[in-house]
Amino acid sequence: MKFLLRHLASVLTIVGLAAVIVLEAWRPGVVSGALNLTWVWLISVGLLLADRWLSTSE
Amino acid sequence: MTKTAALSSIAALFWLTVAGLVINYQFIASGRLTLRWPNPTQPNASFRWADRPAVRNGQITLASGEGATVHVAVPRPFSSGQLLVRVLMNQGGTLRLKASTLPGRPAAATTIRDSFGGSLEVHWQDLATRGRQFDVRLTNEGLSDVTIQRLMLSITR
Repeated sequence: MKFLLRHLASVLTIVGLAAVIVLEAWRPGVVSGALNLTWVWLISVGLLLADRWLSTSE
Repeated sequence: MTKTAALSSIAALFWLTVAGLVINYQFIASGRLTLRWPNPTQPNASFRWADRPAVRNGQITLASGEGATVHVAVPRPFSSGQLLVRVLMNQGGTLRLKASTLPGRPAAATTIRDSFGGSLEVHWQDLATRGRQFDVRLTNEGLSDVTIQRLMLSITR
């Protein structure tokens, strides 16, 4: 539990990305019609890298 | 606030924004959507003139032989719609409408002839576009002036 809270940004990002992938597979265009998926991928990778960097620097 | 908490807040805000945009898009994408242009002299979010036609007596008026193009921006692609143009023309007036449509479909074009004078409404069925923008060309092919009073676009699916 403590691990999940410490890496909440990564947890939220992984859950969000999983939701995006499932929604797009279920009904293509549900997410990609509303926004540019490239930005979602880029920001998600940024969040994951930032969380990783914070955990190693602390 | 620690750096971890700040990053978690940023992540939460980002995913809330994504969820909000997706939910908002679903409201726009489902069901019937009606876009109105009650005052064609002033552009709005959906309609604007590509080539500003003449304004006479506070209304857009096309003289004989004149044409004007309306640039329409829709919030989503659609396969079926209806364009309603309310015009005012005298006896013998003729207005031709033509729009960019899906490839392979017959051109969405129609001609209004008003042999009695007064105003009339044009229902234009089966309007379809691939993208979120399309143009409607209005050409006055009659001998008298045609006044464009208002436009309305209904997207059905």
